[in-house]
Amino acid sequence: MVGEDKSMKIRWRILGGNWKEVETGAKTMTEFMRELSISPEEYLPSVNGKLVTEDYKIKEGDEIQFVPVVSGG
Amino acid sequence: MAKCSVCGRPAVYTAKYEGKSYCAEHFLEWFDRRVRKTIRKYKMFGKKEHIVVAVSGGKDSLAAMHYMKKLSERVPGWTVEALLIDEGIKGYRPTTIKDFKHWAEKWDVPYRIVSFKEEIGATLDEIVKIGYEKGLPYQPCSYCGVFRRYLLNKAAKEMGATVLVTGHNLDDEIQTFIMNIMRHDVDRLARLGPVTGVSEHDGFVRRVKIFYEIPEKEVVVYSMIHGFYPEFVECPYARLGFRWDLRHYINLLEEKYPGTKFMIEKSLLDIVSELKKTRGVGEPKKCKICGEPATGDVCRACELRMLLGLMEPPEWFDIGQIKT
Repeated sequence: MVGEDKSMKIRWRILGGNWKEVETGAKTMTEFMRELSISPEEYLPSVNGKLVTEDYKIKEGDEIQFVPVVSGG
Repeated sequence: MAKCSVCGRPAVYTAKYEGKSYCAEHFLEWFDRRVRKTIRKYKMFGKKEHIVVAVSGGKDSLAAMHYMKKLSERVPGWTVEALLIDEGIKGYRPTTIKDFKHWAEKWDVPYRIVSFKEEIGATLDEIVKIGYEKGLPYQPCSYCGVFRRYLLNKAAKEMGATVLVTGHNLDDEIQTFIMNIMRHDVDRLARLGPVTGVSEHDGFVRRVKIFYEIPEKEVVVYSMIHGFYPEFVECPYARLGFRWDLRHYINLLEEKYPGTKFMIEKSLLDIVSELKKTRGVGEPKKCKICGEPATGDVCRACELRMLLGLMEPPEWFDIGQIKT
């Protein structure tokens, strides 16, 4: 199972939503998104305001925002 | 973290379907190259054009306005204006109109706003309520789609447009394609493509989709890099539509099998090309009531207005003949 060693605290949110804090053992963005059941086809990950690729290695203190791909109209 | 396949700097985006990654600078180059290729391939513009961009204030149409404005600065014979249709959706449209005005003014794009209330006689919120009370079998997106297309064409003509640009992307197009298959609406399916509208018919303004070969995700990357990704607001009717579910299923397939969306679009183009040969797209007529293009004697917008009680049927017209 991804994230068994929940050793890192990460702040994250869907852009426009509320910030949440989780403990995660995910090493990469792919693992983190899988843990949160966030589809990489429907959200783009950004860290501290900058777009990153899914193989980005997550670090303690990162603020992660997921940018919705699907428009609301 | 993935490195840019061109320069080796940290990448901001990986295109899984081609196995390449791009930094912001090279993403924009790659994006621009593909949009220009689409424009050339489908002969979207001539040397002299008055281009009207249909803008909602969402990221796709803002990106289309931004892109066309920049491109037009390199073509002396082109002028660009924007057109927004205000459907009247409380809690949604006012926010996107604010974004639209902000960026149109910043990029120096003249614009016009046309509202359902003034042109159709009611806001979409009012139309949905009337339709429900009258027991009409339509979803909000059905009214919205018909009236929006009607007003875009009408207003673009009034603005002197030679071509109407929309922000439709690869995802939008394949969703519409599959929706038409699932509804067995072959006539509508035959009208799909990167260039639509019957150019020989004086009632139609030709419509072009400059992001036809760009996945929706990449339009988001373009708007993020340029810093105009709008505040995310969701249309209150969006989740009621068939499209909402369908795009989720297509995204699941794309995630598992990268390149699926492009393959669906290639199939679409082949099928539409064959359909046009065998069925044609039908010679459009003029609506006997409003004069706008119609497939029958009366256009769909006038039919819906009569069903909703927003327009009195003419004496010669039997409202019972409208298919619901």
